[in-house]
Amino acid sequence: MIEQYLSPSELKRLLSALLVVALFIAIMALFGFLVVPGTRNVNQPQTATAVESPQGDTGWLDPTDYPAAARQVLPPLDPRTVMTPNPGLMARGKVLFAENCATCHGPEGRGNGPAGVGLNPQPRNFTQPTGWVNGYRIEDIYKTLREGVKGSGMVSFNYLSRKDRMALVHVVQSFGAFNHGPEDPKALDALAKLFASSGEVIPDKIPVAFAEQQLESEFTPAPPIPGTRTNPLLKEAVTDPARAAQTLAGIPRWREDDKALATAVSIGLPGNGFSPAVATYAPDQWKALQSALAGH
Amino acid sequence: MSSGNASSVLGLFDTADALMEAIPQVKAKNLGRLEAYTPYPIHGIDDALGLRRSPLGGMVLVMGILGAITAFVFQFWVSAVDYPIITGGKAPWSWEAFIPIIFEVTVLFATFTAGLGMLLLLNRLPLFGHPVLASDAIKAITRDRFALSIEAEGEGFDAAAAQAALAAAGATGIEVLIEPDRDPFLTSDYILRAAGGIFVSCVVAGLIMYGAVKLFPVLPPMSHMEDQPKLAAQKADPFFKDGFGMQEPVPGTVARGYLPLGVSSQEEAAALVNPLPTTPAVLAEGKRLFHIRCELCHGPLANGTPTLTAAYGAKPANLQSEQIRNYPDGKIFWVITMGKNAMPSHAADLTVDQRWAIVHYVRALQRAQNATDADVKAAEAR
Repeated sequence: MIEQYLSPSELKRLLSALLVVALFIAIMALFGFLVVPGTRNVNQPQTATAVESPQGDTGWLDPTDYPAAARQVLPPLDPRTVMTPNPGLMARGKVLFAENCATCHGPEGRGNGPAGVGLNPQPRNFTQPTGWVNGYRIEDIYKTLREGVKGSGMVSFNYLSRKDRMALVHVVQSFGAFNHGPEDPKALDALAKLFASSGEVIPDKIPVAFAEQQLESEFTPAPPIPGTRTNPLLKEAVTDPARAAQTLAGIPRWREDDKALATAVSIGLPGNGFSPAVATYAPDQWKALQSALAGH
Repeated sequence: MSSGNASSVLGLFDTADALMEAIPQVKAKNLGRLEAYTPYPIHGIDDALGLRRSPLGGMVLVMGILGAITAFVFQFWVSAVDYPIITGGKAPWSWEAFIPIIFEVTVLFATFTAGLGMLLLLNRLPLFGHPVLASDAIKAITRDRFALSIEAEGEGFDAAAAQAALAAAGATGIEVLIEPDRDPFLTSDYILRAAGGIFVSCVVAGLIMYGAVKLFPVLPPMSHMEDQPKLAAQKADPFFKDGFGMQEPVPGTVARGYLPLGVSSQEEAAALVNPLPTTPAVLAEGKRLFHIRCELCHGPLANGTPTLTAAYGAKPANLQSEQIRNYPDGKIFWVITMGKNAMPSHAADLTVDQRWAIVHYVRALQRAQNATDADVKAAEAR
């Protein structure tokens, strides 16, 4: 059909020209594909829109930012509700035991909780009457909860309320099938009087950022040590004068007791502003350093 | 041989002098490009024929410079504009690194120009069988005769006038040489089809590739570097005996600047003094590190009730308890350094200063939860 309009040679020239044009367009398209943004990468990020975090820079609500609250005094406890087990108290105590105790003492109180495996001494086994450090009477267990056990992993739980601690006492006793009595009536009376006499105090709370400000405003830098640049003794012993002054301020009686000074400075090495060389000082050198630090 | 267009007219001369005399006469008639075929080189014939110095050197120079510019611009665009990557700590626009490529591309362009320019442009190749080689005169030329030919330059070559001019100059054995048949492979039909085929296959391959990338954007090897067979710190690795990717340092390794803690129990550690001042910078650092290393277990308010308790039944220490509030700084420092009960040591992950900063921040948390009446008044007055 096209032969009617174009001779073969004209057709050939036309096709050649079209081919050149098509090649040109193909090359330009390839470069456009490479250069023009957005045509190449399907994962190209969309135009970024700033997302405002609700609070703080993490995007989460800041748990350290809460309104300041004045102290609260709870009403005194009625001893009759806590001195002997009752169903409500036991239910509460079981929950508290699972939360606070079971990880070391085990869910059945056998002292075989997962976190207790590495402890020395081992957590108490509440099912056996042996080995109780403070004893297993009500007042003894209460004392343990209040004070902890020195030299063991048992810390003081006196941040729990008195009622919660008494609930735990009864739950701990309920694990052992042996006889836990007899209680010392005087001690029990004292406990009951304590519960009835005064309420517990929930302390004042302020936001953490404000607590930081308070600590910063209360902080007074330690007085500088005189002569750290001139005294050769101090030049050798003190590497960071400001830090050394801060360390000295935290050592009680260093002006009077050169042995206390030597101990307190030596154990803080390195990082307390003193040169590690002071660890090798003899007693008379410490005396000299003490008087140099005091500015004599 | 008899049909077709005349491409050149060739005449023979007996001596070199006759040829040299004939050249100016024929040249004056200006019938076409003159070419001489001689058995041996003749002094002065270049000037007589008016041969110019070859333009090949100039072409090579121009294309070489063009190659240098191409390589330079391409590298600049790739490494400084389109996809800037810091390599070896150098700025993306570091021209010194481009020099080897510039040199290579310059040589490439120059070489191709020299080779192809000489063959295709100056020597007018490809020509399969030069007409002179098929002429009757070729035997004489290669023995003892000197030939002068007038070659056609474009359309309108007057073969008769050329014959007359050569005869007038004293040439013998004049013959008209016919333009040779071109190889059928090189006719434009074949070239057209070959080029068209290449073009169509390029377009088809490009479309297939484009579709593949759009449909499977992470098809290997274009996986956006997602598959990285390197050893990550938290990955298992069968290469090591214990199966961990992250290995302990060699036993006895001592870090630079490390000194063992000067106390051997938490009670002794009570005498340690916090050497850091209570400044905003220290508290901010302490807060940052507490958030990273402590908060997960001890909770954001350090009261031992974090998310982990519900999930794993763990019971981390309540740092707000009276016992720990009454700890001296050194005891808390000791626990961070040595660990306590189920808590591991953080000495490997926190420097001494970082541990003291955390102690400061723990003090701030304790103050926040056990403040004074004056604090509350001040906070409410803000």
